[in-house]
Order: sequence, then C-alpha cells, then structure tokens
Amino acid sequence: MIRAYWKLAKTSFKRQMIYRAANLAGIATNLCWGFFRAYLLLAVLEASPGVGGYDHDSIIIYTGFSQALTAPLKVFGWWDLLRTIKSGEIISDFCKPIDFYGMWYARDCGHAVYQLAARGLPLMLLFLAIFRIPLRLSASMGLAFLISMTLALQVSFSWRMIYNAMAFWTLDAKGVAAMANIVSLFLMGFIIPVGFFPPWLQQAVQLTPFPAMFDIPLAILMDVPGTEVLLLLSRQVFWMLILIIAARCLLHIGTKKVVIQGG
Amino acid sequence: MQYRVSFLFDLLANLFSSFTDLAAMIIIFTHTPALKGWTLAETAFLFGLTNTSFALAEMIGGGFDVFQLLIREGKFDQMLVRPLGHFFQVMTSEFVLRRFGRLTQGLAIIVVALHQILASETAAIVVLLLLPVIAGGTLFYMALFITQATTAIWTVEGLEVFNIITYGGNEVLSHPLDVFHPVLRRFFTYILPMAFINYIPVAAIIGKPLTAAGVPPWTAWFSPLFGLGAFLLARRFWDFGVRHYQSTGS
Repeated sequence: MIRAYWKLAKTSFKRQMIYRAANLAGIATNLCWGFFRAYLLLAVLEASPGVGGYDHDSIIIYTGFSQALTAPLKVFGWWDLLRTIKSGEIISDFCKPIDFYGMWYARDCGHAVYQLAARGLPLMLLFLAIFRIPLRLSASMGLAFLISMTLALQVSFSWRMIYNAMAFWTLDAKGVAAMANIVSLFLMGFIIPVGFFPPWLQQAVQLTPFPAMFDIPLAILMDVPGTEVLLLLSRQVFWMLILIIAARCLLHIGTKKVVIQGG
Repeated sequence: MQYRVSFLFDLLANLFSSFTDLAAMIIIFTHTPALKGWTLAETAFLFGLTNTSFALAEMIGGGFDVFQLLIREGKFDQMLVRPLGHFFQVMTSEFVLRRFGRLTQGLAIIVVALHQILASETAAIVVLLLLPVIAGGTLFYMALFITQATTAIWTVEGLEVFNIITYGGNEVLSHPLDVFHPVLRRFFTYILPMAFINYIPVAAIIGKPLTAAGVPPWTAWFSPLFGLGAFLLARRFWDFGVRHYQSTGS
C-alpha cells in the first residue's frame, strides 16, 4: 500500500521535471514579483517603523518565503479534483484499489517536494543573498520549521480538497472554488503579513485554519522572540485533524451521490 | 451567457481578487497617513486607473490571451485563409466578459478617489482629461498582450515570463513609483514607459513632484501617445510574426 503512494508521489514529482523552462520562468517571475512586494513593504516600514513587529530583515524573509511557497501552496488555485468530477474522469480513480484522499495527497506531496526543492529553496536563498540577510536558525528551530512546513502543506491540501469537492454538488463550482482560494490567500497572510492586519482581524483570523497554512511556519522561520513553538505546532495539528475529517466527510458524502454524466 | 450562476461566481471571484489587493492597500494605510507623500486616496487613484486600463485591454484583446491555443488547434490557419484581417479575427476570437468585475471596480475607485482629492468643479474637467489617459493605458496593455501572443509564433516555452511585465507592471503601477528601487523606476519610465499609463499624468494632475520618474511635468500631456506608440509597434511586430508563421501542421 505504502509503495503505491510512493509511486504516485514519484510520478507526480517526475512530471514536474518535464516543465523545466516553465519552472525557470516561474523563478524569474517570483523573483521580480518579490522585489515589487519587498520595496512596497519596506516603504511601509519606513513610514511606520516596527509595523506588525517587522524589521528590514524580516520583511525580506517574509517576501522570499511567500514567493517560495507560490507553487507548493497552489496560490493561483488548484482545480485538479474539480476537473475530474466535472469531466467524469473521477470514475477511473474510484476503480483504483487505493484510498481516494490518500491518492490525491500522495500526488500533492510529489508536486510540493519538487517545487520546494527546485523552485522554493533557490528562490529563498536568492532573496537572502541579494539583500544580504543572515538566516540564523538553530538545529532545533530548523527541525521545528520542517515539521511546521509539512503540517502547513497538509492543511492547505485538505482545504483545497474541500473547495474542490464542491463540484459534487454543483457544476458551477469553479467560481466558488476560486473565491475560497482568494479568501484563504488573504487570511493566511500571503498577500500582506498577518501582523499588518488591524487587531480585530488578527484575532478573528486566529480562529480560522488559515494561519496554519502559512503564517505559523513563517513565524518559526523568523524565530520571533517569545514564539511558543510547541503551541504553534499543536495548533497546526489541531487544524490538520479538523480539516482531514471535514475533507473526508465531504468526499464520502459526495462520492455517494456522484452521477457521471454522459454515456 | 447560458451558464448564469457560473458566470456570476466567475465575476465575483474576479472582483474578489482585485478586492483583496484593495483591502491590502487600505490595511497598509491604517499604519501611515502617506506612503512617500502619497495618501490613500491618491494611491487608490493610481490603482483605479491602471486596473481600468488593464481590464479594458483584457476585454478587448482577450483573443491574444488564447492565441497559443488558436495555433495549437489549427484555428489560426483557418483564420489566415479567410478574407478578413488576421489581427482583427484573433482579437475578437474571445471576449472575456468576466473582466467586467475588475473594470467596474476600477472605475468606481477612480470616482471615489477623485471625489476625495479634488473639488467637484475641477473633478469634471479632470474626468475629461482622464479619458485619453485611460485610452492610452488600454492601448499600452494591449500592446503588451499582442507582443506576448506574437512570441508564441516562435516558442511556447517560458512565455509566463511576460506576466512579470503585464501583471507585474499592473502591480507596480498600482502604487506610487516613489516606493520602488531607482532601477525599477527608471525601467518603467525610460525603457518600458508604463509610468505614463497612470503615474506621470496623475502626478501632473494633482500636482506632485515628478522626481521619482525624473521627467519634466509637461511630458504628462503626451501620456496617451506612449500607449499609442507602443500599440503601433506591437502591431508591426505582430505583422512581422505572422509573416514568419509556420503552421504546427502535420
């Protein structure tokens, strides 16, 4: 069973290697976009020193981190499951003797690992090198960051499964899914740091799963003094469990009533 | 228009995506009354202008966005044998109505921002001045879309790089040029003069110094001409590309 998942992840990883030019173009795009964002945020910092607990170095780390995660978090939306529901291809996935959620998760992991290694890591290092930012991360914090990153991608994956599963109920799910994606991007702090939000919004956001997808690993990476790593990680685990249950329930109900269109 | 609900959600999603950009801007200005001397209303004015032009260009030139597909499916070959201009046929092959969301939002922001910045009697004159500015901006963005599409005649790999200039340009122009690195400012003024889409005419209208762009204020009067010039250049590049077009055919 494990081997099947491993194979799926590996295939998904290898598929990414075909798009080498696209990945290079992606790095260039992320780099430029990161510059635009960095200078904007630095101007805010200059106008309002210490905004959201940020300084020059942490603004750059934030920008680099957000650009590095563009591909793994599927920032521009992810509609793979939705598409198979709409086209009816999903039926062939049902025939496979493998857990449906697990199958998609294995594919997602393969994609994410490739994108992190080939695009995310070089991007992050480029940003740190260009702006000459030292990244001091102790071994234990590094480990905590890796765990947090894995949890973040897991939570993000379940969330994406949930909005894709909408397609079981309506054929117009793409618009709903796109909105769900945009709202989550904003609330996880991808567009602007959570620390910049007005206090009421910061408090409200903490009650949602969204910081667990982006803001928590970021906080661990920046190693803000007073960061309670264990508390942050357990919050991520909490949301991971909730979203896995929610996603699995939706898939379970959805697959019961799915009607394949066409002959 | 058959799929009404689907269209509505598409429209909403489209509206939402630029709405989050706007929300981010408003949040930024809760921390400071001005960014490099530009207030929220003034920055929103820039934001509204560039997004209006961008949305108009996307709506009118939607066909260039799908040009890669037209080539791959052999539809472009069909167009070439028809007794109608290929440029016009490609341009009208797709009309993206859902961009209407971004357009109405852009226009609404311009109105609200102008109301904040200027007295109502001068605002009327400014609106008249803005029409050629918006037209110039639309032509400029269309020029970029056409250039991107034309490149697809030779290669389809790595065309995403163009998004840096189209979407990235729109992102930069949504903020005062003053916040960016001098290299970026010079790039968008002298090399690819997109600053004339909104920053330079707006700075001239509301009387901001043009130090960030490094051009004299009178150049603002010629802003629409930069869009027109870019469009004509792109049009020539398109003709050049089509002359060298070799079908994907088998």
